[in-house]
Amino acid sequence: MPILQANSLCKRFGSTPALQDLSLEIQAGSCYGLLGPNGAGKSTFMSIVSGFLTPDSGTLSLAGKQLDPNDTAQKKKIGLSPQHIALYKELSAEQNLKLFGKLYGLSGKTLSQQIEYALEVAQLADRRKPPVKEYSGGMKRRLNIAAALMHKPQVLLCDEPTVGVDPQSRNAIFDTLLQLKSEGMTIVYSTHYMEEAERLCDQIAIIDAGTILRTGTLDALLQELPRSNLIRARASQLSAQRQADLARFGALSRDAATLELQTAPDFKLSSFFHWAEEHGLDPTHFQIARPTLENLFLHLTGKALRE
Amino acid sequence: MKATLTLVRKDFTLFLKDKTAILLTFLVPFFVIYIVGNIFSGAGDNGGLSSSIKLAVYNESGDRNAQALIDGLAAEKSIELVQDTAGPGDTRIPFDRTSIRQGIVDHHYNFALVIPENYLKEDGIGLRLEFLSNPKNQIEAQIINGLVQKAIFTKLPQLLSGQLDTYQRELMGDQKYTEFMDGMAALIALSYEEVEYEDLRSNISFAGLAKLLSGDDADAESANGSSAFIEGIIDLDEDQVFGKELKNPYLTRMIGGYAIMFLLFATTGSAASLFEERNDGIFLRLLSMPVKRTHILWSKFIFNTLLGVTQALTLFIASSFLFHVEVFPHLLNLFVVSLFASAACTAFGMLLASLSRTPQQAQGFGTLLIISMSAMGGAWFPLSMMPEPMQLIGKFTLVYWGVESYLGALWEESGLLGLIPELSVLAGIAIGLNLISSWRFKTGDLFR
Ligand SMILES: Nc1ncnc2c1ncn2[C@@H]1O[C@H](COP(=O)(O)OP(=O)(O)OP(=O)(O)O)[C@@H](O)[C@H]1O
Ligand SMILES: [Mg+2]
Repeated sequence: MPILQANSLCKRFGSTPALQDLSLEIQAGSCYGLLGPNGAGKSTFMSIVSGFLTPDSGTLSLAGKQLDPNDTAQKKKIGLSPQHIALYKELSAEQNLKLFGKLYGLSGKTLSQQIEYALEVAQLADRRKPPVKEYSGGMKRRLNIAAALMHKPQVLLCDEPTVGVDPQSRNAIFDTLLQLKSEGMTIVYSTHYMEEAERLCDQIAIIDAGTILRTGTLDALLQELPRSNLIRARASQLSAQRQADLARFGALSRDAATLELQTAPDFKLSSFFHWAEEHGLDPTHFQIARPTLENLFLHLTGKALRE
Repeated sequence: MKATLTLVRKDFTLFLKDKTAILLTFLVPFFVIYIVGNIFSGAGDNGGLSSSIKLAVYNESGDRNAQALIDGLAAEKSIELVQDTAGPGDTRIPFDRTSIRQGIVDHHYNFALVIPENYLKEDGIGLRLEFLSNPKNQIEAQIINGLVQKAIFTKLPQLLSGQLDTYQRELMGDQKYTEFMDGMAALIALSYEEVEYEDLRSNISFAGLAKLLSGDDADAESANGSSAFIEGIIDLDEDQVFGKELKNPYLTRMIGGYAIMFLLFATTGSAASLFEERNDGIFLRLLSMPVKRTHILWSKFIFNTLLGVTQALTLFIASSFLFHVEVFPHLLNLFVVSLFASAACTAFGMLLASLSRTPQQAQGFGTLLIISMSAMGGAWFPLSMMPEPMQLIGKFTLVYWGVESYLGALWEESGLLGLIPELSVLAGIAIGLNLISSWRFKTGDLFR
């Protein structure tokens, strides 16, 4: 049974449709990526799941039970790390966590344990006292996530948690999320970046204009692309004869140093490598550029992902 | 409820972190009351109404009795008498009719009193005085009028001295007048052993009686023995003559209005703070927790009400230190009134927030409403100065009921029970406004 299930969710803001007939299923313990451009409806979906917004129509269920924003027990199963840093800037990390922990109904020893845990997750154990406004962007981001973990939710909603973060903090966030996943937490992760979705997510949903265009594992999604690959090689490593040979696999183009082969629709990787072996060419001379989610997105919507 | 209290606690923590905010919370009331106090009570610690009001006086009659009136005015701490004008060079020359009028035109002073040549009415008992004024400042005009009247009434016997007895003698006839005075003296002498009949009879007259009744200390002391017992018989209560025996009656009357206005302006700030948290996305986080909108709204309401009470009390205590307004005996009542007033004002601020799309809108709309409500509701000047229809409209403002409650607590010294009607109206306003705003918050923009 999926832990989170959405059926035909619709939400409009005035005349703007934010979600249109959005349906999805998220399996417990998985990491589910919502990949889509600005305004696709990712945050709107997260806001509905977290109970901040009510959908105009459609249903949403958590572990098979209809989600009710007034049901405290259900709310305690969900944690939201909002897209924007939602922390009290004048309060310290510790004070923020304490406040949120109390609002989740924690107290006493559990509260202080969870504060320690969250500080650890945020890697702020030694910077717990200064006010949040004195933190770097990455520190704030980490705390923004950690604050959603105070009550050990079953489902963690991460809305673009790596915006404006340096590579180091980004890695720290990924490590945290992978760790949480390995502990059995379900993670819903929204992003513009396909590398992130690729690295973290078991399931990816491509969302645009309030609807889900495709869902599936990364490999399955890429299967959808027409079998067209790009193969690159350094011109200096191939004789003129071999270069000419390449043309039978597709359209060949070259600039000063690089050859680029856009493979034909009937291209078979096996026969390509067979040909290379025949002529004693080292396979490592050829770089096979994988199709990307960007390619897929472009294919599905006719527009680039980061526009 | 627990969530609400946690959020209130959070607001106090945030408040206490903001040193500037704390300073302003306590300094602003001081500052406001300092300015307001100086408008309504002049130099402030003189203990009188207003020491800085200048009154020009010219005794055209040159009469010695008339001079008593001037002396009486001079004794009034709240009046600064001006009796001459600048002459050639550095000299000062006494007023004449033209120069005393010119002083008003030239804005040297706003009020002038002329005791004309024939200040005693010839056709009966009475005085004819000329009062010149520039009624630019209604409040000053009222004060000075009151003070001049007070001086006239206390000095009346002296002013009218001869006139009174002549008039009585004419009215009663010589014989009856003498008989009446004989009888009067005898009656008094009978009742009070220490008084000699002869002594009394030679001194007694209508003017003399009136003089004794006036309770004028300086004269009473120089008068003979009879004054002592007459003073004993008649207890002259200054309160009856002129308002209450408050150290700073005008400020006491007006301070409540300023407290309300102050509270109202403070609450538009609280409206803005709601927007601030929304823009920070904090509401999204809070509402994703087991926190409801009502928790957030209640916490804001409670916090801002309590902050308002603190500020209002600061304002009153400041007025006590700076201007001797009697605050401490009424502290409990002031606290209760401030609680209700602050709740109503906060509800007003929340309503503004619920009706506005941006904090700027709330601020602008709020300023407009507050200023007009304050003017109409009697925060700036007593409502009685306004035409009847305006007075009626004023009663529909929050400000009016706030002002009335504070007047009740400070001026009329009604106990808490006596304040129940006003406090009920304030509570009603708070509840009504809160109902409207919580309905608006459901459909409005704040929580999206
Ligand atoms: N509070 C709001 N009022 C009006 N329109 C809104 C509101 N929130 C979202 N929208 C609109 O709904 C649509 C979906 O917005 P949403 O924030 O869900 O997109 P998103 O996928 O999160 O985008 P981004 O990647 O930029 O965060 C957009 O067209 C947006 O303009
Ligand atoms: Mg978003």
